[in-house]
Amino acid sequence: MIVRRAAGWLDERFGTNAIVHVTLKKIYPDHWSFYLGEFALYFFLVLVGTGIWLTFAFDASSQNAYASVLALADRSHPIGYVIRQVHHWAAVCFVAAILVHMGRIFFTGAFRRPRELNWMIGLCMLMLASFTGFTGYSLPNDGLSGTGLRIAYSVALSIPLIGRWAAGVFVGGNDFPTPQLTTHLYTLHVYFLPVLIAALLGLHLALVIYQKHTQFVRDPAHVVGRRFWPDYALRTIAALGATLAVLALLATFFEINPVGDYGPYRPWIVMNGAVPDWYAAFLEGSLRLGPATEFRIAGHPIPPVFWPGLVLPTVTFLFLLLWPFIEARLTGDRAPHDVLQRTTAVPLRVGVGAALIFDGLLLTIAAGDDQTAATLHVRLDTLVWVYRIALFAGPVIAGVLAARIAAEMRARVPAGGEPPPDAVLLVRNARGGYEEEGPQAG
Amino acid sequence: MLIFALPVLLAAVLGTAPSGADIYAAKCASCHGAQQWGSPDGPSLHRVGLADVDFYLSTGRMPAAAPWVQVAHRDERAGQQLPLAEIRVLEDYLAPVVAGGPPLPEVVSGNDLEHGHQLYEMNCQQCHAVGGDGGSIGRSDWAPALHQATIDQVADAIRAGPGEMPRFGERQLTQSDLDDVAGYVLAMQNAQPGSSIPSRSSGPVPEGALGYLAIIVLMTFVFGYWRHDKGGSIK
Repeated sequence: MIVRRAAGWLDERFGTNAIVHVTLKKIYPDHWSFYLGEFALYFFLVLVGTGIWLTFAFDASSQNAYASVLALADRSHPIGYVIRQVHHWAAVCFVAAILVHMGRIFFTGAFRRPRELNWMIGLCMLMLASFTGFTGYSLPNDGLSGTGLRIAYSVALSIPLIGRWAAGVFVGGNDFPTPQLTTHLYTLHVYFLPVLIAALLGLHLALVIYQKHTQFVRDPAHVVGRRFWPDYALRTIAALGATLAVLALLATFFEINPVGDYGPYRPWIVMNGAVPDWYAAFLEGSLRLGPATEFRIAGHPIPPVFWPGLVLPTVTFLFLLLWPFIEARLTGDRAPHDVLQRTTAVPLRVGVGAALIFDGLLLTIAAGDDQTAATLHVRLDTLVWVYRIALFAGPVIAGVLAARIAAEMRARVPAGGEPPPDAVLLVRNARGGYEEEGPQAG
Repeated sequence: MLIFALPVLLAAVLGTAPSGADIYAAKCASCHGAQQWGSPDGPSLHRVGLADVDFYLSTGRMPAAAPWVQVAHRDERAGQQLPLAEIRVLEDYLAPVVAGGPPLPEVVSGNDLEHGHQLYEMNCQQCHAVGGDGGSIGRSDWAPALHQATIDQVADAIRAGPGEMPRFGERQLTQSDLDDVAGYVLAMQNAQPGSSIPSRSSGPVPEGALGYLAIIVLMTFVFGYWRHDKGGSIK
């Protein structure tokens, strides 16, 4: 009754009923893999919610940041520590969900015309999410994250011509660490980056609604799926509940980033086995594998960290950003598509994807090469060389293999839904046994 | 080899304790030489110090199963160290030869954990890591985990500097410093999760893996539900 009267009141003044009706009746295609993006969205919502809570407890000055994070475990913040744990776990899962969601988009060809722009927006959000995660991870000013910041500072310094300026803008001065470093990171982490993500997220979802979601059903003429209300809305609320439940379980039973163990950041204190959070690990890995050679261009030295620390991620990012256009050019398929493809439909794409996944995994694993070497009792230098060779040979082998497998799988399932020519029909007879019916018999 | 081992076997059969010279001849002399001057298979023991001898013997790194067997990892020799009584006899026998190096340290578990923590951060954490997990230190060298080290072994290693580890003499770490560091290492071994002293740390790598596991769990539920609930689509 109240809902009806409120809706009537709004409709008289703003004419909202028509919009609400269309919104509630809108049909969304349904597939289990479509929920990956939703989980990413819900992780983001949790991050914003817990993040606002944390701003009240956090002291964003370099001197007091560490103490204020440790104080979350005090009695003055009864649930402070678990809120921080939920926040960090949500950040780890957020970037993971985005990446897996992106893999789904990539391998089903959802990025093809007319949705190239939304692919690029999504990729920008992945990069921004990683930056936000890195700045947030660095906020407590603890020993582990301080070491990571020092590395990032050195990478920024290595940019030719503008390196000193860029690094100075990053940390707010010509030294490391500067007294205002945490305040800088705080502004980036709490205002700039999340607002940017939220804006892109709005655009991302608006484009999904405006351009309509892709679907697996082979009916290009119609959207096949469920109404938003009540079918889809209830399902997505369930997904939100599941997200909250998983985060609560993680935060309760698994301690994440125990900054109390690492001590406050002091530049002269280092620790063995230091690695960044997983989404920055591939950069650490590429820094560890990069050669220690310094080029000089017109007398100007290019530090060795420039190539693995900046050129490699930038080139990879640009390649992925432009992939919809690269693929259209290579396959000649420029037609608009609303129907998703089987993952094996375009062997070229499968090969490129497999190669990228191989190198991403390899660089991530290489970030812990010291721990791997100590665990496996092998020489660290040997391991580095194995990784270096695998970095170039691996993607070729993985890519060619994956493309071949995809091509063969595609050949086995003809487009028309006909069984392949060598298919055999098994028929159960009266005695319970099975008899073959060959293609000619069937 | 067999002839050297004979006195030890004989002593074992007759039920008498073998002498230090017998143990040395059976277990050590083939590499370190009859006069402890070393051989191509093992270094000289002259003036290495009793702390060094005690570290290698009590952690089971020596006697090595064979020359050139990598003895840096105690796990490889777990349960194979000499009985404590034989170690003491052997140390008494070697004491005049190894004298001149760091002597067997006296150590008690220090009470100043905060000071021990500071010293650990400054001197140990670079290699043995937060929580005493140990790790690789380049080439084929690694710093072992400290989870099973006894207080005497910690003191031995600090004073003797086995392998790649530097020697920390009285001028670097005084007797009370040594006690505090050793006390802190013991405190790390007994630390409970959530206390102010780090125990075995998990670190960002398993944290990231757990994050992916969470996504997989979520997607498994969605997949199962979606398979169950496939009907009812409308155009």
